[in-house]
Amino acid sequence: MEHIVITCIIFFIAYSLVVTEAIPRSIAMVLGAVLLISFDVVSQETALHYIDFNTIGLLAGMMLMVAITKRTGLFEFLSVKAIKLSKGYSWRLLLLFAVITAILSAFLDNVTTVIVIAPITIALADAIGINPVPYLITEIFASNIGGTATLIGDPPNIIIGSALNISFLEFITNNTPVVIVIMIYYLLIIKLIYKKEFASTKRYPGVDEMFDERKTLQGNKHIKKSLAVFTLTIIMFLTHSIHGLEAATIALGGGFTLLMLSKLDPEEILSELEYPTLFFLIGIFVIVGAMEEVHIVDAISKILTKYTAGSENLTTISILWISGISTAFVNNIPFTTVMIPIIKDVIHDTQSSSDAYWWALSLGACLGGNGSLAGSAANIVVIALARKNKIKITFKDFFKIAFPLMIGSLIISTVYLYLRYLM
Amino acid sequence: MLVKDFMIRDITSVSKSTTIEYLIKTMFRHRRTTMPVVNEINEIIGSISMDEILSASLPNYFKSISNTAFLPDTNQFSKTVHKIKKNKVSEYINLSPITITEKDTSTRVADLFIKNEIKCIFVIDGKQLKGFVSRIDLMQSILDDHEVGK
Repeated sequence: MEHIVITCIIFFIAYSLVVTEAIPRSIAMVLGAVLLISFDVVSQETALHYIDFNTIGLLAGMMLMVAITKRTGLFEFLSVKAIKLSKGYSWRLLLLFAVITAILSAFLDNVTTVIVIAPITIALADAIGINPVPYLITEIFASNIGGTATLIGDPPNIIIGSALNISFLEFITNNTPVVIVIMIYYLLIIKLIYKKEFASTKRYPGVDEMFDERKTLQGNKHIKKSLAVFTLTIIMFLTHSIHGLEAATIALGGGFTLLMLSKLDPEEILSELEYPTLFFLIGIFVIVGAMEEVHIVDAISKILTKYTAGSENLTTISILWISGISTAFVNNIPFTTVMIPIIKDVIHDTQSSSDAYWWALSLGACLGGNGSLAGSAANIVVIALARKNKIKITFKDFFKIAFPLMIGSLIISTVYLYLRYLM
Repeated sequence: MLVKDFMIRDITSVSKSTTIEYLIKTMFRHRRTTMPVVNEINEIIGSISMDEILSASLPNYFKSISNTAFLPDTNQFSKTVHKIKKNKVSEYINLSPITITEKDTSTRVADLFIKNEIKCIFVIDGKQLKGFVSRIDLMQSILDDHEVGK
């Protein structure tokens, strides 16, 4: 009993510290994990057992590839290409920016994508004297939506895929169709909200000639290597069923191969990995592991089963909506990590064989990030960058557009889940 | 060699309320890119360098783009310089400038230049400004000293 109390207190304190950003999230979670081991709630050996090294390895491998590839100017090249292709038409520009952001986010982490796209958007807006806000918020939405599409697009998918052994291809076939619908829905609503700015005839002549995309790649030797390794890595992910290699093996293989080929200094490149995120995850895995050990997870899943009366439909929809609304305000990584053992228990208790629960969790946890400024790291990064450039987007302004849009995306997901898995 | 042997006993300075425009003109006249900021009784309270002015004049998004060669030049830089020229030194002041005394050695000064990536160090006595040392003054004095040594 006392172990349950200790675990609850530590979980609650660590989680509050993360939500309120009182101390950096990696510190809160790792110290929480250390305390749980110190109080003997779990032994160190058991704790290590709960750390999902497939998730950590996959993230580290992708971070490594991104750290090298972003030096090539490839992402800048794509953004400038988008500006050129738009021929200055504002609506076309928005579409191209959104599509590039969504596609890049599907294969890279969302923050990396917006860190490249957003400054170029602000530069463009500054050059032609327009308001960058509609473009910036569209990029935020596109990065979170694009990330939902694949196994490697957003950490919740990596965690779900790894815990349940769901392959890259399964993520694409299950999530991508609804992601495309949701992206179109977002773009249409944004066109409606900013009617004047995105009228089909609205054009900024000469924009396509202002930027020179050839200069983005100047003097870069690694671009072909980066593209080749990236493509090969994606092919390896897609062909998992043939070779059976796990995601972490593939990503680390790709990352270190690219590091070798690039001849860059490993010390410098490896120091660019986002260690806070990796340690944050390690801490969460241990804390959630402890919650499983002391049967807190059991208790929560019993409540969920009781409330849904074992109905598959009601459970799926509840998972989707609870995930979506929660992750609009709290980080989706710990949320997903807690939900996985709960859902496993529910499946066990109700002897259900439905896959729908996992897709509901994935869609909810990823799309929820679009609900408010605090919903995901990409949102925070873009808003911070905007502020530094004296472009104001307040929590309230963003919320007024983002939250109803996010609710709409959950409705679309509900319909999709129902039609595809529950009917 | 000690600081007193190669320092420049020039106490040209600006105050917190000096405008950026006047600061730039003063720097230009003296061919210097760092100035001490002093109070009414000539005590050093900070420093201001061209780094801070340049950084404030460049749109912030330039810092977020690693290679900016592809960006169009729409005179953002000069527009901002004109925009901030009436601002006061106090907005850009560095409140913890690197200082030394006349008794510090040339080796210590060289180390400070490199570690702090600065080009000018102020010499003080207590808080009183006594002068400054620049990289090239240091190097020339060392050369001269060597020749004397022969």
